[in-house]
Parts: sequence; structure tokens; C-alpha cells
Amino acid sequence: MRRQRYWYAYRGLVVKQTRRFARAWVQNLLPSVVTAALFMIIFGHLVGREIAGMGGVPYADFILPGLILLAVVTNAYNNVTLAFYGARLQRHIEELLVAPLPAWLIVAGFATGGVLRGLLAGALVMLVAVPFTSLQVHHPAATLGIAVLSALLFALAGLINGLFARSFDHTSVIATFVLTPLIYLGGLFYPVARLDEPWQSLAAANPMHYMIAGFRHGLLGTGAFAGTTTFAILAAATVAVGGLAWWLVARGVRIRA
Amino acid sequence: MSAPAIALDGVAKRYPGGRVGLDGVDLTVPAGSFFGLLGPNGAGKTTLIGLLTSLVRPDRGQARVFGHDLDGAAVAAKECMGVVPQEVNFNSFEPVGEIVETQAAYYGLAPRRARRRAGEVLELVGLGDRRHQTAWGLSGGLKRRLMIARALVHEPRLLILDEPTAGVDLAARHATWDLLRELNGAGVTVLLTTHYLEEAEALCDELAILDGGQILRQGRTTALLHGLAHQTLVLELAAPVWEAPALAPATVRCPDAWTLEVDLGADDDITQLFGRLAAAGLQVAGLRNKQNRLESLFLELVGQGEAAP
Repeated sequence: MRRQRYWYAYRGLVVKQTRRFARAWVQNLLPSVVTAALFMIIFGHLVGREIAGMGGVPYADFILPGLILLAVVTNAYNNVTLAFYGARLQRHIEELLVAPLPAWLIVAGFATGGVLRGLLAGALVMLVAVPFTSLQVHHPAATLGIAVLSALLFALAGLINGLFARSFDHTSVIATFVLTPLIYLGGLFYPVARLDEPWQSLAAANPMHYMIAGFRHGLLGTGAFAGTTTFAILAAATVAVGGLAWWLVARGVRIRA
Repeated sequence: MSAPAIALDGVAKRYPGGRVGLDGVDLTVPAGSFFGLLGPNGAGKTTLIGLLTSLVRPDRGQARVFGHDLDGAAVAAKECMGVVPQEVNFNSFEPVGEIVETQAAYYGLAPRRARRRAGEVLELVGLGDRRHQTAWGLSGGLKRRLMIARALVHEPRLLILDEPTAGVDLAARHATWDLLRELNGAGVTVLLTTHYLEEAEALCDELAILDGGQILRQGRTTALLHGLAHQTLVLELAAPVWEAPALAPATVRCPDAWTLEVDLGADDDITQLFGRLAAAGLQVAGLRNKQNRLESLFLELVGQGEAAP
């Protein structure tokens, strides 16, 4: 009985979160698609014609997985950060706090909203890339698995950002100054193996490197892919960040007086 | 005997910086009662409500709602409650119907039932025709009604309202009173904080007066009013008088030729007063309390300097 009630509550929260980003789709979904399209046109098509294939595939194909993953993680992250911060700012987080909902369900509902927006943005970027690439998904399960886990990890991280943000400026700081550089330096535009030391070792410490490499392998079937390592790192990070998000919400940090 | 709707035992809350929210509050709200919580600004009313709705974490003490411990059985306790906060706390960019339906979902109602209940409660508060309108466009009074609808959607046994009629016009206020009376008549326990003492006197059968985080007085409204140390009656005379008559032991003032103000002590008999007025040859055309009686009690307890409840 309680399980069914929780299901309806979770469903209600996910529907609310989905409607939230869908209502303002121009603001929420279009920027990623436009950015990816510009990258594809400039670096993939115009500049890419002058670059010999990379990693055994045309340059446009090479950068596509990174661009998709960039859209997935930034959208998942931003969605939850802004949704949670907005709920705190407008105080409608109280609708959730006074309701008979456990903390894990609140975290799960927000995170699912972020994952859905991330995957939708990734799918749209993929769609836009079709005219510029010879895209074939070589390992659908690995591709989808990495996309979902990455989206979940960053959605949960976004929730923590949303909890601690004191202004709208704080909702974009991590995404702009941490997330995007990590993705750009994690092998989006180049194979990390081509870097000299110590940059190659530094890149190995960048978790985004494993996500991009794994996603690229799943999508293009190229490059070395330590599947177990990638999934283990992603899963461990997701559990750790998710555990922290749950603990903070359960304790009422920054949401209860 | 059924468990009280609310039972607080030694509940205390101190905010960072040392401000006292609640200071060892013991409070019992009987099931089925219409309970008023009064106090000046900063008395601890909103803290108490926040504590019941788990928006505020107590430092110590125990709170139970229909026997469910808010610490150990928060989910069961919350299922019994509907909350109308003081400030608007819904997403104003959402349509009215969605706000209520989503809240229904949070309380575990299946989608179809949530939709039906949302329609029912919106009709009940007079917002049935605004279901698809964005909440942003509602007036202040309608936003309050929306919050009442939202609080009722899961049919709570306990309805908690933090100043539900603040800033609402007279007609809307009376409509809210009628609705709350109807709900209370149907068995819903109502806990109300209000700045309008006539509202509390008209609606509440039980009262508690809170100040400095402590309960100063609690009991049935009639019993509390009987305990008033004094009251001032305003008598409108049928014929003018030029000086205040002697009506000992009552003190009399004559603000104008047609009006007498008579201070009565708790033990003074109003029948004897009329006897003395008749003996003095004075005919009374009208009679009223100078102050709302609850207002008098309130001022007696919390002091003249803090007149705003």
C-alpha cells in the first residue's frame, strides 16, 4: 500500500519536474542543440575537413560523443540545480517537506527530472549531428548505460549545488568553472593518449575522461574501453554523491530551520 | 478515548543567534476542536506550526499528531495533516489545477483520484473555473484560497492554518470562516493562528495564547473570557447626560453627552449595573463592549505595549 502511494508521489514529482523544463523548452533544451550544431558545423565540417581522421574515424564523428555527453551532463546538472534552488527560493520546496515523503523519494524525483532532460538533450544533439556524421551506435547498451549513469551522477551533484546555492550566480558557478572545463579537457576534442606527460596522467585523474572514452567506444566502436573500470567509477561516484544528497535532504540542511 | 490531534510535550527551539522560538511548550489540541493560537509578532506561533509540519527541527521535546510521533513516525503524522502557510509557497508559474493535483500525488493519491479531488476542492473554495489559469494571475485572496484547496486535497483530519485571512477582503474572510466551520463540523480538527481576535473569538472553541515562546494561557474560549479581570462597556443613552453618574462599584466616564463608558471588574454583576442605571433615571438605547473581549484578555496577558497579535 505504502509502496503504491510512494509510486504515485514519485510519479507526481517527476511529472512536475518534466513539465517544468518542457514549458520553457526554448530556454532549457535549445541552447545545447544550437551549441552542438555550431561545433559540428565549425569543427566537424569546416575545420574538420582539414584534419585527418582521429581515432580511426572522421573528426566530426570523433567529437560527437563528447558533445552528446556534454549536453547530457550539463542539462541534467543545470535542471536539478535550478529546480531545487527555485523551489527553495519560491518556498514551494515546503510542498514536499510537509508531505509524507521520505528524503530518498524527493532526491529520486528531482534526479529523475534531471536525467530525463539530460537524455532528451543528448538525443536532440545526436539528431542534429546526423547530417554531419556517419553515425552508427555500435554498443547500444554501453552507450545508454554510460549516458544514464552520467546523467544521474550529475543530476545528483546538481541537487547538492541547488541546496547550497545562495543566489542564481551560485547555480551556474560549478557548471561553468568545473564541469565544462573537465569535459573539454577530458578528451572531447582529442584522444588523451596523444597528450604528453604530465598532461596524460592529469587527464587520467579526470573522471570525465572515462565517461567520454566509454561513451565514444559505445557509440563509434573505437578506442580502448575499460568497461568495468568506467562503470565501476561511475557507479561508485553516483552512489557516493547520491548518498550525500540523501543525507543532506534527510537532515534538512538549508531547507529546514 | 481518542488521541489528541496535537500533543506537545516540552518542545523547545532556539534559532542560531540565540533567538527563542519555543521555550518548553506543552500543548494539547483535542481531536475535533477548533483551536486558536494567538500571540504577538515573534511569539512563536509560526515556529510551532513549522515544528508540526516538520519545517522546523526542535531542539528537544516530543510532538505527536493523532498519537504519531513526529520524530519516529513522521510519515504517518504528516498523512493526517493539511497545511495552509502564512506566505504563498506554490510555484506561481504552474496552473492552479496542476498545483493541487501534484500535492494530491505527494500524498499518494492515484492520478485519476487526484484529478477528481483537485476539481472538488477547487470548486469548494470557488476556484473551479480557474483550474487552467496560471497561479501567477490570481489575486492575494484567491492565492490563499488555492492554498486552502491544496491543503484539503487529501482529506486531512487536521487542518493547520497560519493566518489564512490576512489581507483578505471582508466577504472572502467570511466565506473562509464558513468553510472552516463546515470542515470542523464534519470532524476536521482546525488549528488556526490569526491576527484578527474577533476571528478567533467567533471561530475557536479552544484557545492558547503564546508569548516569548511560552504558552501563557490555554483553555476553552468561554472559560478564558470569563476570567477577564475587567471589561469596559459602552452604553449609548436614550437621553443626554451632562456628567457621569455614580454607579459604584463600577467606574464610569462620560466621553460625550450620549455615551457612558463603564469599567466592570470580573466579579461585578451586569444585572446590578442596569438596576443602578434605572435608579439613576438613565435609559440605555444600546450596549457594546469597548474592546473585543478576547482583545482585552490578550492585552491583559501580553501587555499593552504589544498590541499587535
